[in-house]
Amino acid sequence: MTTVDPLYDEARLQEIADLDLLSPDVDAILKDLAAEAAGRLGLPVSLISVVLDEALHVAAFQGPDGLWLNETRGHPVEWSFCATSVRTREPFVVENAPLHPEHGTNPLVTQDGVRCYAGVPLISRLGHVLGNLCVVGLEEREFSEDDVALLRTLADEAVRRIELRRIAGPDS
Amino acid sequence: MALQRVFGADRGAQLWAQACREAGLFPGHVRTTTLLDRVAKALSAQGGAAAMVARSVEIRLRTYARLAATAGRQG
Repeated sequence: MTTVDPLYDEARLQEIADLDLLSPDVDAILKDLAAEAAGRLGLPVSLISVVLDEALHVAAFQGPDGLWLNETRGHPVEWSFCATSVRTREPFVVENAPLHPEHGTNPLVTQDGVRCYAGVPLISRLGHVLGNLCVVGLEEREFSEDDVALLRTLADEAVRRIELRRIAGPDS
Repeated sequence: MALQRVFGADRGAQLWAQACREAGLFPGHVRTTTLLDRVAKALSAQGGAAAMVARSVEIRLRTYARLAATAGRQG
């Protein structure tokens, strides 16, 4: 029996399309949640990502100008911390990125200076991991269970809004 | 290749060929990033999961262009 890598699951990508999550108006719907995550955890960057098959798309962004993520609104999936949760369906935390076995040579770490990351998956009603709500910092730090729980709460709200979008349609 | 990973070999090849046709190109002749960008736009117009693959291609092309520009400034 062959197991499909969730990253390349057609049904997952189709649901992302059905929810119209690449639309520019998604940023306005979710940006306050990203802002709250960054503010409450005292970190400069937070985003709500949509993980595609070979790239991460930034659906909502909170952070300073001049960063790669805000300029390109995405990056290759092999750079993506958020892709891990698509496969594990669990939160993913990196407290010291340069020492991380998978991300130590990640250009976001070596060039943009990312040092810490915490993200929780956005799991749809249909059971697909659409992306993550995550925070990013430029200094190493530890994340507590309460920190992750806060992200979980905000991610749940993001999914609730996304699901409303499915019912109401993008024009309402 | 990306399309085949998502849709399987046959459907992936069909979608690629269709996108190339709609971009006015032959499937075996997409050899530059400019041409690939044209195919990605045609793929995006197909909608659904194919459009998500197209967005991946677009992001990767934009990333490579930015990396090249950065390397140019440093070099």
